[in-house]
Amino acid sequence: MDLSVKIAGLKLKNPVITASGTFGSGREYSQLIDLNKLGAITVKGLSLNPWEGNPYPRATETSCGMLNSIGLQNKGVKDFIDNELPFLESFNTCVIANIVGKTVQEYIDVAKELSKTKKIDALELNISCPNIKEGGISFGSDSDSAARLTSAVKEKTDLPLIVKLTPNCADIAALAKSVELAGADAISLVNTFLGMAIDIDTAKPKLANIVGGLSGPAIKPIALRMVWQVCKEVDIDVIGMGGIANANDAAEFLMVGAKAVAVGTANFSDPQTTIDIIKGLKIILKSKEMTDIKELIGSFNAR
Amino acid sequence: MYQQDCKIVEKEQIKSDVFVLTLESKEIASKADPGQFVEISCGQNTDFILRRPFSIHHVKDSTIKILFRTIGRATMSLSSYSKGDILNIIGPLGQGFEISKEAIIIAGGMGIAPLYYLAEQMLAKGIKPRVLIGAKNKKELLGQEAISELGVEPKIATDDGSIGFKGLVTDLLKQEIYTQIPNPSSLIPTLYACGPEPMLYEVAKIANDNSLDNQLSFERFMACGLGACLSCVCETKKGLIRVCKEGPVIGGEELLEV
Repeated sequence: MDLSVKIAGLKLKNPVITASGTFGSGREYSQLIDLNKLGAITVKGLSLNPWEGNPYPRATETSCGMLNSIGLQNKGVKDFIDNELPFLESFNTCVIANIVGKTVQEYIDVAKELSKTKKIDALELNISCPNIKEGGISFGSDSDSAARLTSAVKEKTDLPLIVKLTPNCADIAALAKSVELAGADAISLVNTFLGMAIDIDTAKPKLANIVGGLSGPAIKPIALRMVWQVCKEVDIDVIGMGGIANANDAAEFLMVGAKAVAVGTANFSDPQTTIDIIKGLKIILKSKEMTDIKELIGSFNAR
Repeated sequence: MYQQDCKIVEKEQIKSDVFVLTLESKEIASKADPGQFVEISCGQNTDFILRRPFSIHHVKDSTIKILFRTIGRATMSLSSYSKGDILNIIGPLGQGFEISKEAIIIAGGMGIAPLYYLAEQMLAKGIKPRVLIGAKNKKELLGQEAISELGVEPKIATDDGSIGFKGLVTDLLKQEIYTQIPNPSSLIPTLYACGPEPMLYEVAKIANDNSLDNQLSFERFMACGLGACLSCVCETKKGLIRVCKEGPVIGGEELLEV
């Protein structure tokens, strides 16, 4: 049974990827699952210099999901290259580096640093984080700035460039089209939906940042709709994500046309989720008398 | 660190809203240090998706115990499980306490959960800790009997004075430090505390004022418990640390604003 897929020319042994920010740099989960079994690992967002992130409390559980406003806390790209990349290199799994910046130049600088290592398989341009004041979503919610940043980074790297879109925009298909035209090699979506929660006893917000990104099973139907819309609009490869917690969820995203899927919040619920999905996809293929995951991809029948 | 399906071998209800579960796991039991915790999947209901962290309350042979109060939908769900049921558990997690030769243990409310195991491990090493337990009132007091059964008579503080000292357990701690008869072995005690965050900061302040080492067990919201999500960070003199990974036991001298 062939589960392998190609994303922007990059061959993955299966279509299951870990979503940025939910899997650290892989090390955190390596005692519980075999990282070699994953299609790819997307590491937590990397900035040029260390970022402190947002004040505590940074996350809260909501019905069928969670809100977070971590704020992309990370030790910077140099620390990652020196201390985490050698560890990841020891596994036979593709590594996708998620990159963030406050300015176009910062994104370019991070991309250059990572490209130089020759040990990263692809870059994921994070223009969709709702939790930082500058950068992130401020580049990603309108088509023009998203396209400008995409082409600026694309010019400076030879690595496949995946652009991660925010669902907090007016027209997701138009946004996807604009980054495709700007040179993106693939698109991943969705990042989290901006939301909030209040403690009615104290009348205070549950997040110090007041608002944060909603993830988890609660967002899956909206994410699936958006991935479907984008898959119809663009010719480049799409990585679908948003609330995927089991193989059936993953199959839905693949069937609407995503070439791969990413698992995020479900890694917190159960660190075995990605491994269970890989096993479950094989069972789904078998039940459909398919032998290749590519038969499942795009098999959605709208009528 | 292990992730396992563990059988509930005993379930005790010690108050209307407080339970003790005994769970079978040879591997977790063999590695668990006092102060470490486990992450438990509290039910199949996808309304709550995250695991919950619980201090390891006791270890015996191939079993561990957790002590919990039903405060929300996940702990309510957990309390509905029975002897013989299976729970998925990750652990042991985090950094536990370092045992010193002279100790004062300060428990606030549910804070007794990891400290009971600490007291027991100290006694097993021939160290007799002094134990102070704080509660809102006599009805909510936890751990008095259990600690007595270990052979240490705990001192009690309640907010309303319904049993023991009337006031905060940290006021009782000040009394304990200022009025103590110098120990013949002249060992200086280390303070071990777990409880509400304001209590921990007060213990750190008392420790600082008296130049005492202190180890504080923090509880914070965490999504993964593995060091990945960065939800549970705490600001310290060393910068941001993850309560789940570098903690939950943190040296009070590391805290800011003490």
